[in-house]
Amino acid sequence: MRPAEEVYELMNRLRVIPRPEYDDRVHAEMAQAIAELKSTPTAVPQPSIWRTIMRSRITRLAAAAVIVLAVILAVSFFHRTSGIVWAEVIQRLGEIKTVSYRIAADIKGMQGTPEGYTTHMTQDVAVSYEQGAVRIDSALQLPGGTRRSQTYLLFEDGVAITVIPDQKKYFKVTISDEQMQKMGEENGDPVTVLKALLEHPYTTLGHETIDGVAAWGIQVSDPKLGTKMGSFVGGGMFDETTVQLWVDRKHELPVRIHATGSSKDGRASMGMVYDRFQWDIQIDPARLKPEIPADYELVAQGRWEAGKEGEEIIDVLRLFVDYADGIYPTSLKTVTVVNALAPALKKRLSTKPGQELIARLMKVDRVGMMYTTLERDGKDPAYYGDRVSAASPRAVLFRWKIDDRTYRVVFGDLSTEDVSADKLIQLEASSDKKEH
Amino acid sequence: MLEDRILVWQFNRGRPEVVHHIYEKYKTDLLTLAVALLGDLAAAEDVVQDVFLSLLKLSGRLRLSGSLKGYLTMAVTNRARNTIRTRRRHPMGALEEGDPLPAADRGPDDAAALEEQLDQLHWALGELSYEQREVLALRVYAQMTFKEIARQQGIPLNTALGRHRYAIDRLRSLLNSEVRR
Repeated sequence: MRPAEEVYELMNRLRVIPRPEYDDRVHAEMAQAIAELKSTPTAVPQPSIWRTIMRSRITRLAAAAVIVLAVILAVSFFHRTSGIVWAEVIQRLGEIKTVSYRIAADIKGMQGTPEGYTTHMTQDVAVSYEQGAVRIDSALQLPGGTRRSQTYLLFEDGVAITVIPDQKKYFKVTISDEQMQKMGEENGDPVTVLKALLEHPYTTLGHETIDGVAAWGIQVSDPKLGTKMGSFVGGGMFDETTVQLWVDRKHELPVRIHATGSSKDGRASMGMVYDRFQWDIQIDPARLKPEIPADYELVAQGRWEAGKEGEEIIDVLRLFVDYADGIYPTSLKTVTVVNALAPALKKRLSTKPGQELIARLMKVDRVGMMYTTLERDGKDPAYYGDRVSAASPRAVLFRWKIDDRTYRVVFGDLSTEDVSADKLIQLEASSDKKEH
Repeated sequence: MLEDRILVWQFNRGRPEVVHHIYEKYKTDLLTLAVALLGDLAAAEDVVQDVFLSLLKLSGRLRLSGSLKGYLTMAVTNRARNTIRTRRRHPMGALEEGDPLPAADRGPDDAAALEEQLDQLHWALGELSYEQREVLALRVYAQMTFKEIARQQGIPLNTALGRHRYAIDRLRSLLNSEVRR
């Protein structure tokens, strides 16, 4: 009688190798199914998109860094030197249902503060990927006292609401589905972002004890990091950004992120620490829904749409024509724009700004972000506010690509013209001559 | 497995194309399992193809409690079981003409002998009840523990062990009697 092992051995020799024509058929069927999947996205339930989008938005609002972690970790996966199994960290992050953490930041050069004043900010963030909501409790220590607010990001409703209880006021920004999807695709696609990050060197920081936890760290630093990565730190606020990431070696989840940013002129800088991470905790759903009392005033409403970044930037620049004598900001970094506009507004506005103006001003916060979006989308933007003002009505102030062969040019007087690349070269050369 | 986690991660983040890679990685294991369960190459091919096309429908929301290979193995097993149920009772018997069972590790010297042995094995597997065949196939081709098999089939551990023991005894008996003939 054959021993059982012999039966096992015989069975193990039975290997059915697929015929080439069968392989071809299966690959073809799968390719067709994938094409259908991509052509009819609504036919496919994609709850995970929410997770992706949420991360994207959170990062865009500088309120979280989960996707950043995923991306940085993905990079690290390809350079496994740490002993941390980075892919497992990515996997863990992908499985997280809730997270809360604290951001503490010192920001120098913030709008409305005296020269050299450093504002201390804390944000307690609660995120529920299941509920599709984020709550951010902020406290800003300003010269006049502490300003507190709560921001709610409600993804199913496509809105961001900021409530200021002390003033009984709130703001509302509607985010279009297209913009939401776009952000999800941009920041959610690890390959796209990975390519950007791989262009930047990172250094390992080795082992360290962080808050009593044995951690391993890496650092990504590059002047162009903020641009390439979109808005993950400061949303285009700063010229230089550095991110340090520390991961708990035992549980393989982030324990601390330390981000720094600074503007070229040195007037603005930021040091930001994300810590007190608590993963998969219970969050009361009611905490993530704004309860706005009836006597609170809706100060302004805005809308954030995809593909209109160029036009939105023109709207921001129009504020400088209206309130700053046509002297444009030297760059489109948010901090630069805010610092250029704030004194002019203070001087010109004798009464409380109306809803329309506040809605316009709300775009200023996103201007750096909008510019980086144009860069990341390959729209080849350029801005010459450092040498062009409204006094040079035909000089090129700003331009971006609207299709493969056409650029939209914005002149000093904010008039626009759609031109070919060749014509753009002539216009920019002519602008240079006029300015020199 | 690390690579599988990455594949699932990519699959869930807008890269359904990785299913081609997953297919290439596991096609032989899964087709072997399906043939062992169904005894019919054409039906086995259909089952494996269906498993991958169904997998694609989960793009963006594939949540695994275990390994990717385990998930695919179970998907093949469940579909094979459905096929058997549809057929009611379908003894395996010999493969149809034109449905070769290519065997790996087949050296030129013993090719003919091995082919004969595999034919015998194939016939003998077909003589087992489907339940016994499934336990044995999952044990041998999916390297599952008896505990996992019992959980997957919704049967007590001792029942899984008993089916396996009976399957081995019956196979040994059938193969030895076939050799003697």
